[in-house]
Amino acid sequence: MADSRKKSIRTVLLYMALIFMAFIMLVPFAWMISASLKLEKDVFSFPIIWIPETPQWGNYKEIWQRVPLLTGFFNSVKLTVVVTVLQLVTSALAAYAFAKLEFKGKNVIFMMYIMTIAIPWQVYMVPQYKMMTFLGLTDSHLGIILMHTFTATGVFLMRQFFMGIPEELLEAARIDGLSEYGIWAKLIMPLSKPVIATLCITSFTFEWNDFMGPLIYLSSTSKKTLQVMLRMFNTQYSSNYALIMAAATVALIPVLVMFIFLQRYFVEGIATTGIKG
Amino acid sequence: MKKRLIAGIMAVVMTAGLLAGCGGKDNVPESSPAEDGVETNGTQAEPQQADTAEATGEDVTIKVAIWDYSNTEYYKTIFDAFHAEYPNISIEIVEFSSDEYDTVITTQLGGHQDFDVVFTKGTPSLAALINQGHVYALDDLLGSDTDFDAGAYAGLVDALSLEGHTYALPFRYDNNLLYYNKNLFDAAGVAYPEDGMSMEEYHALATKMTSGEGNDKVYGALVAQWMGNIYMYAARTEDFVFDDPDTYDALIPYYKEFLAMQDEGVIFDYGMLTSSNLHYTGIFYNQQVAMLQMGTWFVNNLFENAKDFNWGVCSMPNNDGMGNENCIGGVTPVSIGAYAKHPAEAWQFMKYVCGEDGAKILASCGIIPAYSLGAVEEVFDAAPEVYPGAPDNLAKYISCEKKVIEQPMNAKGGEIYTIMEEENSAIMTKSITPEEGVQNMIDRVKAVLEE
Amino acid sequence: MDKLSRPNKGDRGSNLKRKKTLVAYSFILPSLTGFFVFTFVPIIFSLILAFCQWDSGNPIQFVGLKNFFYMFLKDKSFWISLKNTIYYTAVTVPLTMAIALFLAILMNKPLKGRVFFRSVLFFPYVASLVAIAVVWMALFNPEIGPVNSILRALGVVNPPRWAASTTWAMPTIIGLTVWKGMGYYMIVYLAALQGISKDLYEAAALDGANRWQQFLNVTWPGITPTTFYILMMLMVTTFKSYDIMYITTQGGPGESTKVLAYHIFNQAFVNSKFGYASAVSMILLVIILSVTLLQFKFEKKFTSNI
Repeated sequence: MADSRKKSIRTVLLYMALIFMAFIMLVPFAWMISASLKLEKDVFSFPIIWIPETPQWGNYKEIWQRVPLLTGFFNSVKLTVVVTVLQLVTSALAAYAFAKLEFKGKNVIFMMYIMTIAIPWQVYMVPQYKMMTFLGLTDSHLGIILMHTFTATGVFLMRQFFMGIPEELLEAARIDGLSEYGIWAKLIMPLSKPVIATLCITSFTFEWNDFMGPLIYLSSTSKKTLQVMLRMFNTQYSSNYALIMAAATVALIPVLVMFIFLQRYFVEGIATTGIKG
Repeated sequence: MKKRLIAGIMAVVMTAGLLAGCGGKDNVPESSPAEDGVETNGTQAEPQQADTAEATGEDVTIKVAIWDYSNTEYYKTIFDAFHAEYPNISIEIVEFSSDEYDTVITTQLGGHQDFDVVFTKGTPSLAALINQGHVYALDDLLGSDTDFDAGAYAGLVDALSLEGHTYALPFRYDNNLLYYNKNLFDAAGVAYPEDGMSMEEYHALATKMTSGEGNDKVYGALVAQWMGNIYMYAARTEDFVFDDPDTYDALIPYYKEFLAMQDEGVIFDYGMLTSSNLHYTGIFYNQQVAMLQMGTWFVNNLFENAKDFNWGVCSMPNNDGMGNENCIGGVTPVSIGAYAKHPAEAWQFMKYVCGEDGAKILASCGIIPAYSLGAVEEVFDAAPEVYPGAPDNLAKYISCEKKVIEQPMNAKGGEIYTIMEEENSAIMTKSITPEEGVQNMIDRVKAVLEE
Repeated sequence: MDKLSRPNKGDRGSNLKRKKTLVAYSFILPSLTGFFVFTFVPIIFSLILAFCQWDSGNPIQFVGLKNFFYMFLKDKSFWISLKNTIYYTAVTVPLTMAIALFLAILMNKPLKGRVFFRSVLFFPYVASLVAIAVVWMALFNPEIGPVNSILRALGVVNPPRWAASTTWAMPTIIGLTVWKGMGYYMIVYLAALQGISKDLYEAAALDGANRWQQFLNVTWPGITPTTFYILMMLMVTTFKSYDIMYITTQGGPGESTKVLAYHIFNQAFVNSKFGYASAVSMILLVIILSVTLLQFKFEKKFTSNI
């Protein structure tokens, strides 16, 4: 009796804490929406006015007229989807070898991957651009896809997850006559839904929000992405934050939809899918 | 008499053009934006002009690297006018966002991108590109081209040379002024600020103009958070030279004055400005400040946005008793890319854009061209006829006797500015005294220059 | 199947080994080829640059160890930014990890509205950095921010001036970084927690282990590889990030929030010293490689324990 009351008090406290936290987390979102409905001169007025007196709904109309936002939207979707899918497949394959197979040069190659995550992009941006010019891959989506698909972080993330899968499961499968490809497809991948979802989220948000890559590599307007177009509202002498925030709010929707969609791969407990250690 | 009248009419017509096609924010371009940045030519009706004899004749497309193109109507106007004049030269715009422009342009030129024309954001960026060998020297072109007159730029062409070579033509020249809100001064019954105020007088005036508490507080003045807005004062009187550490001591009295003003609450607190992203435009438009020192790019902005009050300008206060003789400001240079395919056509383009024709269009949009032109002054003096809040004496302030460049050409300009900005933030947050901060600037800049 | 029924020949072992290697390489190759060409080659080039002088335009000049001598002996800003980076990383990384793990464990429970809370916690990670920074800096505005208003109401006469003070600017930035990043690492931890079999907890509970013991004996070992991943990625991202400082403090006041990545960016794109920028980034490389080597050691220990 006392125990269950203690428990319910704890639950109430927990929810109160969570709601408070959720509130704090949503403040920037509220600010974005509020700013997107203001006149530029009022965006940074102090103290913050959360509900503008006359909401400028026109801002949402204007962003579509100012820059070819729809083109940007499609380009972003294209790049994001292609990169995410390709990265997922190539990373999962490589990660399996790094985590579960023995072969010559494994550690050296893995160190090669790791090494690259330590180098800031600013340092090799110019050499990379030179190389891409040489290969004729500038101002093309293909160039961006090739540069962003084969990342060390994807391989690394998946490898770490695969390491946690018990060796016994694999041995059992091998004895049952499954080839390594079969094990990868039929055993490892189904077990890895949470990490696949994680990599999807990582890759999707990175690619969707990335602007420096497309900015440097894509010169023609018809190829530019949403984030690059968003920056165009920021001019030398006047930053148009009202329009930027309107566009940023619109740009946020796909990421949130994707996130909520991928939520179902984070259902508790993996016992149902069957690791029996 | 007749000439004067025509000039006057022209000025009014040109100023009226402001409403038609120069607006940044409020005017949504009618042309389909999807075409922007790819091609601008073709949409213009081809005029039947014959005097394009100097043009090489062949049809070429020049590649122009620029920022803010899709948000700035006057670029389109100028470029279209150029294409109308030289129908054989088409323009391909390659646009990058303003904040990242220098980074992208360095990377792309590092990859030998074949830009014919490269706009740069200021002297430090230009000097860096020159040192990297990414832009052409213009000496031969300047020497052989008889119709080019460097004299029309009031020394600005020379100011853009480095080690005896010229690399760019000046497109815009934006100097700095003290803007004030006339309505606030009228309400307080205080006389408007005047040319040649001393810093002490400026301080006293700002104190008089400070009123209210909390959210209703009106500040006497706003000193924007960037380093340039401090050294500008001493640089105008030529006591401070950006790349000469021996002159940096001239900053100390200005720092002391501003810090005192900050302590008394007559200017916005530096920490508050930086922490809240407060931008001077919003503060000025919302009438929360009486005086503001800012560049002349703000003029065009005010034309369009300051609708509820009257504003005026005067020259910046200083400790040398200087009136409006000198102005201090920055240049927007235009160069030919080192990997250009059509340098001859690029030169024609630059000459047009930075010359009389370009200047007229810029002026009609409320932008101050680097090219000195009588018609420009007429346009600015006629401003109140189109924009009721604007003052009638703008021309005086954009055509002063001596145009000082705020950051002289120096290959290490960017590095020097970074150092100054860092020390400035330490001084303005009172982490160190002005003397210590300036000494740090001197030591660090000397070390950079000696390398 | 058929490899088992094959006749037992003398070279069977090495054949099998070769076949195994081939299979392994067939897994790696799709990723490795692209990775090698598009990332590794330019990076190797930039490593060579560390021993050169290059401004992105003029020919590259080999200068030996000059960049490193300059870095260690003359560049005071390097030492300041190194110190700031260590401070920034040393606080941000453990703090983010602890909060992320705590949130992940919480969000792994069958709570009502779990999807909502997870999404909301993840939100700052995807929201525009400008929006996040504006709100955070507004909260900590030294003059008119709510945090200082509360502190004043509580009787603190001179509350910290946060981003406008050389002492408090870094903690302010750290808070912002943790706030923005924790939701993402929560998700990564969540994925790892889901990989732990429920049976293990049941077994532990049967053995009479309390919650803390369950955490130590089941949860922690189960998420160790992920912890390594998060540790590395957090270290790398905090080491490499300068966009938060760029938007909020520009490295100031003074040089109090100037970090290595900021210094590297300035050296490359403001000062045109691409060679020197490469040299500075080698410091980060050395740190990351040593952590990886350590990890390899621990991994062996970890896997042999199972």
